Amino acid sequence: MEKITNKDENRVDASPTKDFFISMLVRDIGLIRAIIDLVDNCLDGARRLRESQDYSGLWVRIEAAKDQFKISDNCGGIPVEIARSYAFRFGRPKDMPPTLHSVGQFGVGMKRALFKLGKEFTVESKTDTSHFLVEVDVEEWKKEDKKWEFKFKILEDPLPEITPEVNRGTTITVASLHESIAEEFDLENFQNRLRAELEAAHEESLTSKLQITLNGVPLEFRVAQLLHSDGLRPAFQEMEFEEAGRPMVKVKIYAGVSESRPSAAGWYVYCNGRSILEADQTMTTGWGAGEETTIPKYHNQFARFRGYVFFDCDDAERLPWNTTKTGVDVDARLFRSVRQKMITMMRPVIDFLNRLDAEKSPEVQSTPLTDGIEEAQSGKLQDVQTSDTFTALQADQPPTLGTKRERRIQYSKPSERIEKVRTALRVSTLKEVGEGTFDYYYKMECED
Amino acid sequence: MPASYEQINYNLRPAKQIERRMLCEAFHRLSEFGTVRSYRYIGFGSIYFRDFVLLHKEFGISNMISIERDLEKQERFRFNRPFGCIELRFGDSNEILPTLPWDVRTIVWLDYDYQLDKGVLTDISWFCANALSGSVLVVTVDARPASIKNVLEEFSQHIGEERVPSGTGSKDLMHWGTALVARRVINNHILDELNSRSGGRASGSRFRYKQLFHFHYQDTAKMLTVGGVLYDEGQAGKVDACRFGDLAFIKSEDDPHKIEVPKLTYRELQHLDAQLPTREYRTLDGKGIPQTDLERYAKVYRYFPNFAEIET
Repeated sequence: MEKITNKDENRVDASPTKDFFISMLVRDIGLIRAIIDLVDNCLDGARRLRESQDYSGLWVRIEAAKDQFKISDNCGGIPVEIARSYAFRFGRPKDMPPTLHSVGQFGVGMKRALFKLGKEFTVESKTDTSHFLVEVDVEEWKKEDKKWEFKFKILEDPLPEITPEVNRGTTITVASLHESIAEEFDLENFQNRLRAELEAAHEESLTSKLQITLNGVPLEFRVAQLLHSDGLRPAFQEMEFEEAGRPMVKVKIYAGVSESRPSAAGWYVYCNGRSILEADQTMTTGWGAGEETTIPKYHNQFARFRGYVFFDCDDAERLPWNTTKTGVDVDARLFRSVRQKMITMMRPVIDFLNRLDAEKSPEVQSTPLTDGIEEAQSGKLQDVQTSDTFTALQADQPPTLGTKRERRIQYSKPSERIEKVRTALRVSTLKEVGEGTFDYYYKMECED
Repeated sequence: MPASYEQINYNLRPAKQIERRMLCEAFHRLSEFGTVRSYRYIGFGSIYFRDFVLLHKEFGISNMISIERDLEKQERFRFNRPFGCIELRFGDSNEILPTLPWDVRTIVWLDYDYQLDKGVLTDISWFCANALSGSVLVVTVDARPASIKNVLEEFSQHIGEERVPSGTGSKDLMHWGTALVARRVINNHILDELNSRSGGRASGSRFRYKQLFHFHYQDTAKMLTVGGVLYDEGQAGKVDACRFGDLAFIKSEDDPHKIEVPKLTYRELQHLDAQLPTREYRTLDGKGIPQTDLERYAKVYRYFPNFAEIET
């Protein structure tokens, strides 16, 4: 190859300016997402440290204030060699050793978040045998346009003695926050939103015993729950996708019912424990499939529907998520196949909910499905009794008219009279008033 | 509209009966995948259960599910159930199919008495998304043109506009045209669903479909039957070993096998049977039977219904 020198007339400079690079890098990510990315890195650390996935004793502390942002953890720390060759690179080099089940696969999360937040940052990390500190003044760094490096301010490798486990971890501090960021951190509403999104980003069982706090207050992760009873069984199926030479993708799918809440209804999709879709009610997860003959569009009568999909793979690149981890890559072939299974599993739930809805009609005298739902208990996914397909008592029967041995009577009477009867009967609820007066009449006039 | 069993006695539909027997003969060859006896059969038994009787007697299949959407007449369907092994499921096939476990090889015959529509395609989706390798899907639909005036509009309304093969005009839907286009639509839909299902599967274990059946017949209305076997690429060898192609009525292509029923008397039937089989139709002693009917009979005589036997 011909040697290219600065004097080469044919040479056209196409290298990015740092300004441009940074502005592009931070453009397509929201502030909250950027912070969640940092938490993901801590989780990856925890995963490397404890393959058993028992994270007891580990913690992540996030402090977001208008003058400073800080996130620290005791999840093992970043080895110096990783920091030197990979952790600060923009993009993940091909030869980087993978973290099994990792969520931070794109190699941009940490840098992107740091640039997004402010103009000065430090990253300090201690592993069992090494310790480093990197301190960056972004404005200074930008001045040297051709130099894509950071410098260790402290470097101890190896350390004179082994660091005790509790002290192995990473602390990232960002000072001189961008003005807009500082203003956001100062808003109570923003703090609430940040907390809500951090809590929604992971499912409880996948962060078990890892304590994550925001400004000192522990996060409470969502506990995925479904209703179940002897007659009501959520659907559960597992799928596995093999590909020669790559780790297997395992998929777990649950479909069932829970409390009636339109904002919470829909599908939840997780990749390696990270939430990428929440309460989805769109075509992405099958709503409206087959021009609505297969699955109807979302309606509030389906407010009890809940579906959960968990993708897991040692190789995060095989998972069907987009680069910002804010949604599924709907073109991913693997997702299309899983979506087809999700559709099969949700249809019986939809039919059940339509029947449940039909029981609200005033002509219906027996309401076995409504009764069945009321008797059902809420349980965590891993504890509920499931079956291959969603089963509900009498799910394939239409609501029957008047065949029940009991019937319901409803009527209205003036309030003051009801109060008098209530006092006379010495009961508290209106139901008891109705039953008491009926029983009284029956005893007096009808009993043999 | 009354259900079709109220209009016609299925027993008197000879083309339909010939079709049943041809399907049956093809099912024999599935034994490469496993004994046919071990298959499950899902169909729409109506009150006659003709297909159920045939498959139970022929193969001993005892895992049988009849889907019946006429909820009002459950008692009558139950009364007419010919064997105890037939499980009745009441409801729309769209609803019932996804509630079934799909852990056994299954022959599904979706024998509709109406035209191809989105609901039919949904049922096909359920099969394609869930059936095990070696399972067979057969779909029968009424293939009369939807109307004379707005045949294309109505057809595309029934199935969804984006599913109409591009370039289809009203003329293409006249006469047997609706049957031909409907087959393409069904085929495309099957391939689409299997493509989705194969997503994320390694090459060599993707799902494939081989069309085996493409019948046109007319007892009263023009009817289309299409179907085939769904299999895992890894089992392609088994499909070949079934040697479906040896059977004259197997059609893997666009042109149909037409089931045409000759009009003959019992005396004529016996007279012709004594001279069969032969490929030399010209040499048949016809006793004044038109040549076309002679040839038609020679092609179907083995499947021709024996009415005396059927009226049990």
